[in-house]
Amino acid sequence: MTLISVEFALLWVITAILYYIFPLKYRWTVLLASSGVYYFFSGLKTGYFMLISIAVIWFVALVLDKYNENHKQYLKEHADLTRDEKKALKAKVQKKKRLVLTCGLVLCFGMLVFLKYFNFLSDQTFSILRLIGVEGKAPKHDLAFPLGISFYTLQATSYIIDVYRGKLRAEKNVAKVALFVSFFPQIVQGPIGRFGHLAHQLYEGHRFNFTQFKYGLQLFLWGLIKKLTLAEYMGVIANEIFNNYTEYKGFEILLGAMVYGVQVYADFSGGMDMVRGVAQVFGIEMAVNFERPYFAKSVSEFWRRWHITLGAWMKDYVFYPLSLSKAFSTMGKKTRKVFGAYIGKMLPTFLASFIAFFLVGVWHGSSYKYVVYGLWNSIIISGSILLEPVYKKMLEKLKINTDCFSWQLFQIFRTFILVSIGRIFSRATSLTASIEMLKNMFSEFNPWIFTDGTLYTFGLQPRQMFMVFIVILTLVVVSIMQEKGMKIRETLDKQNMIFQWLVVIGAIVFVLIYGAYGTEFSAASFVYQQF
Amino acid sequence: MKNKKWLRSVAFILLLCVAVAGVMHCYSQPKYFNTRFINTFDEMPDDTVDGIVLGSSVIAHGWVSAVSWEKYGMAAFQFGTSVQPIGSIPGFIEYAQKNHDIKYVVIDIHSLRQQSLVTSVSSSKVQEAYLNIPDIGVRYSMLLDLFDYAERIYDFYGEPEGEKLDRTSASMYLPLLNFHNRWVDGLEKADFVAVKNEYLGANDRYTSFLSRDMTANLKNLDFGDTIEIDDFQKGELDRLFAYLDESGLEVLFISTPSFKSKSIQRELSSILKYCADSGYNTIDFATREMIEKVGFDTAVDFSDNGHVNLAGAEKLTSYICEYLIENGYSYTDRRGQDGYELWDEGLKNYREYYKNGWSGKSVDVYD
Repeated sequence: MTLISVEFALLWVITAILYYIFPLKYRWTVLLASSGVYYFFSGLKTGYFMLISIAVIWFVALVLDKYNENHKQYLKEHADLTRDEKKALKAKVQKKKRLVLTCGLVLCFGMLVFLKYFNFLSDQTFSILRLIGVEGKAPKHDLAFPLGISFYTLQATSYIIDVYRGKLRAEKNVAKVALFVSFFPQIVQGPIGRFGHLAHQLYEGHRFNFTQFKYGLQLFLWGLIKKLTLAEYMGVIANEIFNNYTEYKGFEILLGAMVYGVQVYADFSGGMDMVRGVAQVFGIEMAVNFERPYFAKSVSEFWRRWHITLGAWMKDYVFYPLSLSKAFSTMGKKTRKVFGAYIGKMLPTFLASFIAFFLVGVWHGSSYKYVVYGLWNSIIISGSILLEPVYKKMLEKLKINTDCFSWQLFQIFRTFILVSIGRIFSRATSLTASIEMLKNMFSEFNPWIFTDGTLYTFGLQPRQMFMVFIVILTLVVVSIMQEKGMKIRETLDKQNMIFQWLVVIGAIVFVLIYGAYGTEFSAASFVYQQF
Repeated sequence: MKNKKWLRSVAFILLLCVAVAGVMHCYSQPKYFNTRFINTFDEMPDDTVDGIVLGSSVIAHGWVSAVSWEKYGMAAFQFGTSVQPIGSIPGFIEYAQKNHDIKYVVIDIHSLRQQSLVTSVSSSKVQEAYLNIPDIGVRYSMLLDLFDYAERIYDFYGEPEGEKLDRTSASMYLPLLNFHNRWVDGLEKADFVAVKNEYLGANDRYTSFLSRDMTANLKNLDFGDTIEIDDFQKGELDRLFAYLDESGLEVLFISTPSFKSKSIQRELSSILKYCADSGYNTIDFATREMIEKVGFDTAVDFSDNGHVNLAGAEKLTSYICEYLIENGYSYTDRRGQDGYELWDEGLKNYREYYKNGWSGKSVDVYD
């Protein structure tokens, strides 16, 4: 069952009706039941892994919470403890907690690693062994990849880490923990919710709010427009270029990369809008995953605007714990001595960033191309920080005004190109193919492809190209309005009723006619659900 | 929620329904050349059609209602669609019977030949067979019947390698889902307004006035003895016979003139023989004797080896009408009766169209 299907629409409608019929206190059970139905129709067999994750984090969180509470209670009862005694006690409790947390993390990530990476790692290991003369067949499993495991594993582990850190109390009701992990709109591609932000919204019943309901439907519609009238059409061009990369050179490759960038944005952010819209109908505000990433003026800013919940997870649970750890602090002291104050201070941060982006890359899939994709971003970000003083001097010497619009536009364009080049690694059929594409991109200077009609040879007809242009223009205008702080739905709500109706009905009719659905397209699937 | 908000919501939903219905209308009228006759049929006042003629494109090309009306006052309308699945015949009859007291049916058997069976249940042929029928209930029921028919074909002959009619993709046969992408080619007037065939359903494409000399192909009619048709063909005919017997309709099975290979002509003739052996009236036009008897000019009256042009169609129609009258079918001369003005108007248009067509002034309405 996918977001764009009659079955999902039915599930949504039935859930909404039941949700608002049920007593406030029990409304969360409707969401849980619907999540079960959703998972049942999407592949029950693989659901066992989710059940194990739920059981693990529920139990681990309870144990951790008990340690936290006992520790607090003990301190309360023994207020006369000395500082050293307190410290020793804390260390003892931490050790136990760390052991429990480690067990939880190993179990949760173990399932992910086994299901997602075991076959790849096994293949690679045996390839190396063959080089040294050890023969043998790489063992592999043929288990189906559970729906949304990459997303719910991060969501589930963030919960136990937060309990470990004492930020959260553990939820005693296992069914409620199950709802937090399996809430049906987010299961396929996130956003990766945090217990502190999402759980109470799921558990407390929401009264019917017409405005929220309306906004939810509007957001879903906006996502549908992005997905069906932009992502799918962009996908036609991107698929043509990436699947037949040997036939394309120069700007054609760059075009493919840029078009894929637009496709994946419209696809993923469209999907997110739909997910958030579905949740909003129940009065639940899910985390924002995109903030107009293509308006970013640097790659690091891009990653603060793109897939925000993944970035935030990496920041909170990988980057900061590493860069603030004792080991990295010690390393910083040493590197400062060797490389000087500026570079030496930065190196531990770069390493932490490098590890975080490596994990981001690996999270996308079990292939070297994803590793390189993550590292590309890390190198660009680290490189730009390292070279920042040089840039500043250059700009001063060339007397470039960096406060004007044209410079900002240049920065946006530059970031878009850098990000697009990085996307060649993630979209290409293999790492070898991506390297070949990069070579081909620089092998020919052919800017005339933008003017000589070549654009019409990538699979879209002129009328489709024109429609796509209109959608991109609309998207840019809406994004500019949002960037300036305008809340589109609130603004629309203040307009005359007839205008509001015309906009909404016009959008529905637009997507019905121009949407890329039906037998020729694969609109039901999303790019990020494969990760 | 306050009453005002409820009212607004209901008004919004109504307006949305109107808009969606408009879109569905535009995207459910594909310009298939054989289906515009439905629009014409739909305009006929109740109880002004006595008989219908069913079959594949050979009927769309071969039956001219204007001639049956002009010469005999016979109100018989054609329902010919490209490779019309035999399985859709009951659906067409029931659709025609909704507003008219249908007394007789003429059925061509071309699409029951083995070579046509799998093609007849491809999605495009199936859509052509039922899509323009405005009654959603009839349409849906026809679609379900066609799924059953397709399954029977696949069970007997095996599944095709390419396109297959699949019950699980039934939602894709909703016109909007199927045809929304037609905006890429551009919508025309016919997509917004139901344009009817102005010639009482007579073929209005360029093939109407196309002549190809078929004299050399006459030899294909000398195929010798008939053969025994296979169990599937027999089974489908038996099923159809049972339906027709129950309906109480007067039936005539025909095989329109064609000059395909000897094996095909033999198969067609054998199918028709099975109908005759089962006690039904039949006319096999694909014999040297009948070509001569009807007065077909093989140098002029055919647009290809399977279809007559309008000159041939007039002869074919006249012969069938005379046969029906002579053999006691429930014939009433309706000329001059109230309610048949559209037949007179259609005849007038047809005569002008026919005259202009042969003088080279006619144009294909879709070009």
